[in-house]
Amino acid sequence: MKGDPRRPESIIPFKDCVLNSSEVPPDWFSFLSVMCAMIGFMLRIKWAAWASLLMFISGYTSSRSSTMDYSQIFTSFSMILISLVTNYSFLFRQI
Amino acid sequence: MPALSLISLLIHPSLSFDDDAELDFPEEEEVQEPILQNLSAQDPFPQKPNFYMEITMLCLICLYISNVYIGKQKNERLATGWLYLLKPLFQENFSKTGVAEKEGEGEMLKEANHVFKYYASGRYNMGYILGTLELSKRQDLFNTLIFGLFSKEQDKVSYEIPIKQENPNPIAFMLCKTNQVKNLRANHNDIKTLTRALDIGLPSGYTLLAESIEAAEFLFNGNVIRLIESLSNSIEMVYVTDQVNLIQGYPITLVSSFVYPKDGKDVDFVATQAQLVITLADLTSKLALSGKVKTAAEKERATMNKDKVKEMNQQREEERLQKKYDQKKKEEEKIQGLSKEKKRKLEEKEYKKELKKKGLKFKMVKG
Repeated sequence: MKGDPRRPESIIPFKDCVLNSSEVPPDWFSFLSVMCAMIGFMLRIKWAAWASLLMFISGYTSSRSSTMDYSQIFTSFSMILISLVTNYSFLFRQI
Repeated sequence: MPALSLISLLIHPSLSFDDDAELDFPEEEEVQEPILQNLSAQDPFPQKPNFYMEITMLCLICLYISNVYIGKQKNERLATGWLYLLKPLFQENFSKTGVAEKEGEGEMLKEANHVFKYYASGRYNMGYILGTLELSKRQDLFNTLIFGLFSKEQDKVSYEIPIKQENPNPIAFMLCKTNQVKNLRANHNDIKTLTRALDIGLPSGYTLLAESIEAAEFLFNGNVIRLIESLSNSIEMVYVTDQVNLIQGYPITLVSSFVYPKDGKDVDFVATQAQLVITLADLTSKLALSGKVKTAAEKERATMNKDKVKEMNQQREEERLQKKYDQKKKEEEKIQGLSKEKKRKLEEKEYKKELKKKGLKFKMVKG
């Protein structure tokens, strides 16, 4: 196998690059969704609550598995739920 | 009453009271009493609630989610096509292909809905080849509508190869588009310091930045130039350097970036891109420079490293001085807040410390 460049003994297993927290690029959509959720919750602005949900979905669908922080996702989603429930609590009262 | 009438006359003649006169009073109008309404049960300004904003938002979210699904499917189709184009070439050149450790567990890594990685390893002169396909974010409606209009986002594919040389030789070169030379030189110190533009018959629009004409002619032979010509404008950059070390035992690194054909059309040159990169890596590993050129290259590197070390030392010195200055400022602020007696005691302490340093023994005499 003189011409064969392959060498089974030289195999290096694949290692996905793990970034430090300082190297991870900022996720602007997640940040904006949390901001909008807080504005919607504190100032009772409905469209801000909906915009935060939209931005959360956008950020989540474009995020990479190597930089994904599940605790942050859970926190953002909780904030959005609280904001929506606060803005539409009048519906539950009427019922 | 006559007394009253007398008094009133004195005050004002018109205020005289005449008992006998008839007093004319205006006729009383009928005053209608207001009808009391039970206001607490009703809103003062009753309005019908409308949910137009909510309906619009829900429709937008449904549209977005459907776009996520469609965009994701399209990206996955492109990635699968890329995998099938590269697999035969990688299987010819490498012992093991795929990211998974065991066969059949998965060939490609889906890092995101728009980022896919393919890996192969097990070659005599290369540690591995890692291909990364970065597609545009078709799953993101904002990206497609807003950013897609203003910026020409293209699908890109990049390859990374650590290389081992038969005879260790210093090497640094970059093949790039002529209009990108300035930016790339600014971002890569070794290319800026060690290389210069060389003319070796490349197609127009491309520049080669290399250290020596000998290395350039060896690496960019007729076969390589034919491959570059066949790739038309899809090459963004091919960068080879001995200043970046990805894994131990492989001192040279090749990093390249290409444009992936739009929507998966004209995919003939996808395999050619990978072939170019493997060919260049092979030639780099076989490079053998003459003594003179090698010595000159090593001298240049020594100068570059010296400058780097000097810069680092300068930076460290500046940081040390800044720290000292900050510490001094803090101490001064502390002293300012102390009483006179405490200040005097602190000064005595510092004076004794200085004397101890000098090795003298003197007593401070109070004036």
